[in-house]
Amino acid sequence: MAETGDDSLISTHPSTSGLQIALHPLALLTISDYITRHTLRKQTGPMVGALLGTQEGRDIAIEHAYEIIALVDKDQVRIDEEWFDNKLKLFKETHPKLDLLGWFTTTTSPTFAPSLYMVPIHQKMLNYNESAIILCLNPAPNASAGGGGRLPLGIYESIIETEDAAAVRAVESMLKLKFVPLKYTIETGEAEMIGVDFVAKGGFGNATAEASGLESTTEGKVVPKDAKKIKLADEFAEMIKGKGKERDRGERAGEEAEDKLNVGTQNDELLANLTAKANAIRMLHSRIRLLTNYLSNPPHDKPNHQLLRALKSLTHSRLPLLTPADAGAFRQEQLAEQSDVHLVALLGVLTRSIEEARGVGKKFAGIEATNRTNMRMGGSGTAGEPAVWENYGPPKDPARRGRRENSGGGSAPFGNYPSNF
Amino acid sequence: MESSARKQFDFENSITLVDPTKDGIYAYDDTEQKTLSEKRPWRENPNYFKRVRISAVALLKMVMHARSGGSIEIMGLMQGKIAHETFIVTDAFPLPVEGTETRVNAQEQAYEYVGAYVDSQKAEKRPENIVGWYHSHPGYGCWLSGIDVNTQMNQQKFTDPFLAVVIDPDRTISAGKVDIGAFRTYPEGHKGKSDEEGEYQTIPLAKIEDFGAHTNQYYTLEVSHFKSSLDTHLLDLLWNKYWVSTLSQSPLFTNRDYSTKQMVDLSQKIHKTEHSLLSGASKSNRSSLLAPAAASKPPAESQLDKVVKDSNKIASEEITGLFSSVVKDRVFGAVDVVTSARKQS
Repeated sequence: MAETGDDSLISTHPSTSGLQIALHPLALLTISDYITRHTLRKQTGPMVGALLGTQEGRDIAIEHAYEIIALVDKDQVRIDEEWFDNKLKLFKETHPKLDLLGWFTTTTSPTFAPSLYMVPIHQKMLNYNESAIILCLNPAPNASAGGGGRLPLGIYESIIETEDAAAVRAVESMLKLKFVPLKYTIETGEAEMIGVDFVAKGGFGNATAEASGLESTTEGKVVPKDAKKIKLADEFAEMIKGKGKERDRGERAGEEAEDKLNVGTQNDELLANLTAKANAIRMLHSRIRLLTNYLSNPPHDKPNHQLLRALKSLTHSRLPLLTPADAGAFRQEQLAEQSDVHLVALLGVLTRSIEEARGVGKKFAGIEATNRTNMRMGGSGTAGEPAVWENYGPPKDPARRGRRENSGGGSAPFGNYPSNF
Repeated sequence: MESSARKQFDFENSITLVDPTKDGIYAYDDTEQKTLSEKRPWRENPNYFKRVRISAVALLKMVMHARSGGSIEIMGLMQGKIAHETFIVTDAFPLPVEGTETRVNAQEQAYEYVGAYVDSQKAEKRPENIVGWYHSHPGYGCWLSGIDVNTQMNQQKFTDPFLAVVIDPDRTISAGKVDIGAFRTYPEGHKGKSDEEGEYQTIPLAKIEDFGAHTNQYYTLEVSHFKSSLDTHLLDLLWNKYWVSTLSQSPLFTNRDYSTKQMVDLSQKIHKTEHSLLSGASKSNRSSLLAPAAASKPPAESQLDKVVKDSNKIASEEITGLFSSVVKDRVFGAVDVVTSARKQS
């Protein structure tokens, strides 16, 4: 089958339905999981699966996916319908909000175009959802190389081309089915994003490989990022400087609040958070650079009016939207939020101070009690007193100050003294 | 066309992005699983299993399912296989059951569902057995309650190897990292080391008795996750699309309910500590002369200690949230200045 990616199946008409596709990472990872498993277990046959999600008017969100049993029957691939109905019923029981949207399969086509063998399956799918979509993913490593970081997949809706409908009636509607490419965006829920982040980085920071073990690899992830880092390091440093003041203030508060906690994980959390932010800003910056570069050195003599118009609408009508309508109230709200956080931080510090003050009081009482006993024992207190004060003066090491209480009465140098004040 | 289709599939099977050694964990060896489950090394050593490895898909499914439940506890099962001292979770699916904290063996209700689901999975050549269950503790941390311990003990008695995973969706959101714990119980009669203190976590006052009562009946397994090279490849590309949401999220706002709850809980704890400190102080004042060498820390002290830890944790979470809004303001608030300057000119 030379026509693995059969471009003749692609309609020449642009999409008129105006469907908005939002693809969730879970669906994508499910497909990828399926491909990996399928390959490693040396299973044969086409990889076919269902896409599920929500559809509201023209907005489609692909949230879930699962695989379908495909039966290769002579020259046709078809789905096991009985099994499929059953599976769909089971799925709906636990995901009542999700509907069948369409299906996915793999392709070897560099343009991710659907192949001929997909048409009958798609027609089956149309029985379940009359505007079923199809997602074709090309798992080859070079599939996405030229696409400027695009995902190696295409999403299509189907239309019945009417012009030659009468002529091909004999061949059934099979050949009239054409696919129209659709644009899609990536969407994540909040929990999903944290999950993806967690999975992508292997937990915290960049200790990725250790966290996920031998079998997983993060090389692909680390290398391009580092390259970017070097390139953008200078610009980024400048951006940081601008934020320096604010950040310093925040960090100091953060550090204070944390130095007593389980310092490792807390700092890691903060670090992971800030790294993610830094990466995102770096990305934004590189995108802006791309645009300004384009504008200052246009690659063609003839200006691309469409692109320029899009740019103008971005800078003139969409960027101003960032300014809130009621700037004063917004600022007010923002400040209120900030003071809330600072108040909470202050409360944290206060509680700790109380604990420390209590600790000091306890030690003081301990020394006092010993001195009293010593004096009562008969005057030896005068000799012992200076030594006691020297040894147990105010704590100097701030790192130890906090932990002294945690270590329990027994191990502290005050263990000899009554600690139940 | 069949042969050409076959050729195409064969070609697909030779793709290099799926690396048989790197992604070896995705393979499934039926005989190996059978021999392992016949040997039952976990029968002799209650601490046999030490690690859990969860696939990217399973982890994502569980986290999203937990989050979708809101404040209701949800529950599901995990499929996978076993290896030396390790559970490997390859997939997870939800059960049509809610409120697992109120009933023992809530999953009995779903037996029929589980049967049908596993059958459907086996038909699609996914022979993985059920290796455990997961459920959510919205807002109160990852540990096993008395009811959970019972459920898990039953499962380990009859369907071992079995694993319990707990996810806290609220803390996942507020901390910006997946809050997950994996546990196995000890058989009845076996006492675990109770002095083995894990990482400290905040437990709401309402649950604290339940928390303390069962800690020596189970132990924690180390959780890590794995992803295939194709996953990595796609995630890398995905980042190109989704960095936007990293910048646009506002955890302070989405977490308002949770942080309010945390504060309420903290204030209750402070009250309680204050009480016990006051009564403890008056008591020990009287007794300090009589028994000056009491070495162990009175409970009120460790209570105070915990209150301090809790309040600091809340504070650091809030500060993390503030960071994102400050960063957002710095990056996009500047647009404000630019546009107004342009208007003036």
